[in-house]
Amino acid sequence: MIEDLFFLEKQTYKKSFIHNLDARVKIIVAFAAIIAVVSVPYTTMIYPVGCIFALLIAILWALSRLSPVFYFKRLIIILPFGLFLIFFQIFFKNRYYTTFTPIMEILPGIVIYAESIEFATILMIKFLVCISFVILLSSTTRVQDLLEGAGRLGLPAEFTLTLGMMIRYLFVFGYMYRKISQSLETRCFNPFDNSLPYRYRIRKLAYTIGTLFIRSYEQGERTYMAMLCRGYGRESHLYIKKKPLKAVDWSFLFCGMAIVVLTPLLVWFGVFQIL
Amino acid sequence: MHLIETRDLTYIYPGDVKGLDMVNFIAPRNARIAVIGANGAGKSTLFKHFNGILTATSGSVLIHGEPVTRENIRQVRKYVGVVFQNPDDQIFSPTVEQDVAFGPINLGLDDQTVQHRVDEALKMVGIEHLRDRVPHHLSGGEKKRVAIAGIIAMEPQILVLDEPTAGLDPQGVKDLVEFINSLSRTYGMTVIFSTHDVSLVPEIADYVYVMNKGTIVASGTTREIFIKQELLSSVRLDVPVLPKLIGALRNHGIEVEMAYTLDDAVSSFLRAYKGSV
Repeated sequence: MIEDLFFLEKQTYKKSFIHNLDARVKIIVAFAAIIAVVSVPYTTMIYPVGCIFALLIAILWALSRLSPVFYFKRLIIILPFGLFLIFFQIFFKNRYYTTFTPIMEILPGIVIYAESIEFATILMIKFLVCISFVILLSSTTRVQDLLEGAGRLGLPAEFTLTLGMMIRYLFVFGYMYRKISQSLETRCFNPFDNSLPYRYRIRKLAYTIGTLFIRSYEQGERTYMAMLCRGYGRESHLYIKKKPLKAVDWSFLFCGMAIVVLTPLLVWFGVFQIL
Repeated sequence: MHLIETRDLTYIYPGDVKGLDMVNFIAPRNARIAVIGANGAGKSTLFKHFNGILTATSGSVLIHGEPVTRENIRQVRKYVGVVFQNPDDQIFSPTVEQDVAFGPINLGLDDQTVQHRVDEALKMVGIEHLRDRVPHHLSGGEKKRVAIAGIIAMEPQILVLDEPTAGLDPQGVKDLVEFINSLSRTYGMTVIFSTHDVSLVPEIADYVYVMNKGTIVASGTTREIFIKQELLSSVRLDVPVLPKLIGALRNHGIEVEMAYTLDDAVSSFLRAYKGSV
């Protein structure tokens, strides 16, 4: 998991049209897309909207020149969280339908309804589109650029400073974890090594995690001291320079917003139809 | 009036562990002061009193002749910049530029002045090219420079460096020596630093304090301190190689003038050689 952090960071440092766009533009378009897809009513009109948004994500992903395998790997990591909730929808009635048609009774009292399956599919499409935009945004934008972009868009100083420190120390502890793992490997300790007693392995892992907690606490104390040395106070905030948007950023913002806003509207008015 | 003065400074850590015991320390203007001592001698504890991070159990710390109080603490921290031993303790912003700007922002400066201070500090430590980099992509030496730039940007009158050469490669140490000397020579800044590396001391210090178990056991010029070989050995320190070598030669009857820096040693050896032929 920690290594994924470094791998993800590596992807954000690649060069492409999407990578080079200003973070503000990417944040606005991604959040607009999420809001748009969430705002679509729970009807089958989500199918054409979802298809167009999926096409948009595919085009943007291709422009980012990142491997599709990377996208699917990240998707698989996130999927279980939503999938679990979506799956159970098929057994329940919901407030979006007036009549429910039973199609299968698994156990007495546990019935699968046709309308519930449709509802779960709609939820699934919404979920997939939303997380795809988040994956796209986080895979093509450096985390410090995301923070600066959010700051320029008006995220309060209290958040930017705290998040900035969180980002910084996420990597510090990433490296710390890596060193601890390497030191364990150097002394031939593998938590999955069955030749070692189970309790011994658990105890050693607990020591390691405990050490990491103590080190994080001590790091916090030292950092706070260093902050005080540099005049940290109520007025402290992250330094974010003014940065005008380039013509290409404006163009992308205009086109992206047009697609994101017009797609659900045109489907609503019946211009696009799949089913 | 001295820039920093401590009078009978005593500090006791929780658990009744004595960190400092009756320490009297003076830092005048435009001075280069080394504080040497073994691990646990109290060097870092002393430094933390210079800008009010720790408060004396008894005795006093005077900055510009004024005791450190709640009211003047921000002003004191503007005067006295402390660079910590581990740069990861001090660099907490996502990019180098943002980290260097942290101090000037806290001083309430406007954006233009902050930008100017950041540019100047990065230029002074020679890391303008690292401006947009993230700290975890930097080497140990580069991080150390960023930490120093973060303090320099606050334009302190006194720069306190805790073990500045720890973890640096030989070129990094050489660059740091030149930098510390330039701070004193060009900007008239007072530099106080702690180190175990006694060979470095004659190159960058005019005055030396020797600490052991929370007390100052000796103080004087490099010449006065490094002549006391027994004292240094008793506090787990050593005499630098050059005076040690010259001392050994003199013990064997070779007339070489005592020297502490490389340049002085070269001159001494040349004079001795020319005198002998």
